[in-house]
Amino acid sequence: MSEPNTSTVIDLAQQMQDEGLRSLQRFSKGLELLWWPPEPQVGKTLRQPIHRSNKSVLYRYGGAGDRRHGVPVVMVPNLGISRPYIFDLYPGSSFIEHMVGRGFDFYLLDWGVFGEEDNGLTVDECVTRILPRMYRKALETSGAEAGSLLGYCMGGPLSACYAALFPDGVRNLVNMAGPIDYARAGLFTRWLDARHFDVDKLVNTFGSMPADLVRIGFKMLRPTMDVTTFTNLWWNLTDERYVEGYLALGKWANEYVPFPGEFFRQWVKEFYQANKLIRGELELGGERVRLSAIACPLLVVGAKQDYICPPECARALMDAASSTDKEYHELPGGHISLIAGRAAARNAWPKVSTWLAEHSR
Amino acid sequence: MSEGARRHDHDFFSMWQRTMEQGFQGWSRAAAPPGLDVLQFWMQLFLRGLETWVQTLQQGGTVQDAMVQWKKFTDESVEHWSKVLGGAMDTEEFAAASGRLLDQILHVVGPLRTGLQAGSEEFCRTVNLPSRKQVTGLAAQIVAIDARLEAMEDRLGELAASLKSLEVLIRRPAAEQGPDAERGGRPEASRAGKAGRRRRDA
Repeated sequence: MSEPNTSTVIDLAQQMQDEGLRSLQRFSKGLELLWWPPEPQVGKTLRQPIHRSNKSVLYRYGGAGDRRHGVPVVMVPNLGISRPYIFDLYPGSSFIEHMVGRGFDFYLLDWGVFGEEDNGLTVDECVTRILPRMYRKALETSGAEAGSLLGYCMGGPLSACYAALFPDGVRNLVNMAGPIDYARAGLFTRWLDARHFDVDKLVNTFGSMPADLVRIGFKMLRPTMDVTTFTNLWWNLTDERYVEGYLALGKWANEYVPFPGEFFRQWVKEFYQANKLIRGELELGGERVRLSAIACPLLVVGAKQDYICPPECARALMDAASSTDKEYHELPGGHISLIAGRAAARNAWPKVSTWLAEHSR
Repeated sequence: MSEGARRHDHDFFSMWQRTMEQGFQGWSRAAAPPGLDVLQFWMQLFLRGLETWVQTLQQGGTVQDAMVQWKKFTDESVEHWSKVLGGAMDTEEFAAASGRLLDQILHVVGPLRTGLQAGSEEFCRTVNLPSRKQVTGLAAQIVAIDARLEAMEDRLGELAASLKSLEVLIRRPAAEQGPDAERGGRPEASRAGKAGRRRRDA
């Protein structure tokens, strides 16, 4: 066995000392975050409330000088589950900031946090009462006759239902990770199966779908997610930008929102359990929702590692809609990395903004 | 206690026991799939990590390289673990077990909530305070009124739009008539005026 070189040993010791120091720095930063967690600054893009309807608010983003496209974009996010500031996370990492920067007259429908008094609210009312009103207000404010409807997550099917029922004012439709074919919605399809999941009993007991149960359901989808998140945080604790993003995303990821009881009942029964939307059996406001009535230009974006809405589940809209101008993109990453984070800024946002700009002329 | 009641209790407890056992089986299958010893899994993870670390250093890499390798290895292991768990949860057994577990929880929570609500309502009534149910009911009524007002506003908006389009239709012939329109006279009004005069003349 050869004698170890003295300089090599010293070098190795030096490196280990450096690594030890780095670990110490991480540890001290970790303690600082644990004891004095700074409040992340989220939702900083300039905005103005345009219209309120009960808990829901329609916001218009950016200033008059920012708007270059004549066709407004109305974004419809999920109702319940989480708050919509994920779309405007923090300056430099915000989808809305990106869209405003590209010259869009951008509107976001914040469904709000519903309370016990709203337990009677249904999907029906959201699509045929609240959404049309908000959409009309957006068009009135911008002075346009038609706009682009952008649905993300649950907002995807809600927007698709709206576009199918009221196609006149919808010039373009974008579905970002919005589930359409619920037979292909992954683990949720299995777990919410009528044979195992008694939605009536749940809603009758709690009156709503409590935020804590929503949290459990989503955590169960990826039980190792927290381990990965903390490991990544440990490695990047000395990177200020990373920590800023972690705090903002962490704030959002831990703020779960309940579902109104009747909304959740209808959502689970008609969408997940009976898969009525893709089958053309869904009725809202007394009218049959036919996805084939969607004839406007269509963009569908799916994420390869999406556990909430697998890409094939969102892609189903491509076949169901009768649009001739339609495009599908399957991007790397998961459900959230389609809308927030560095990967989103690199892949998804430019795809959506470029497509919308081309279709807003 | 009667024989029937005793049998009912026994049946209930055996059903509860059976459900719990099935639930635990489902969960333990999810947490540790067949053929996978949890301790062995983490031991292997640690030892392989250490091996990678030593190998990187032996090949002339720095301590930082070794740490990066170890991080990569940990990520891959967690990803693998995640896939294993995902596979176990994507089964009928797991769905049935979690459904039963939820059912059990609701079975306990339901009567408990009802009892607590009844108790708190009784208390509020005694001390002459509005109960939660009453406050919620009131809020729901306000929400309903708000919705009706919105519906009325929408209807008025539609009516205003109809009136506007009617006005456009009415004004169009006036513009087409030329001199009348120049004098600012409304053809309908002048027609009505002429008809009135004719009636008076007759």
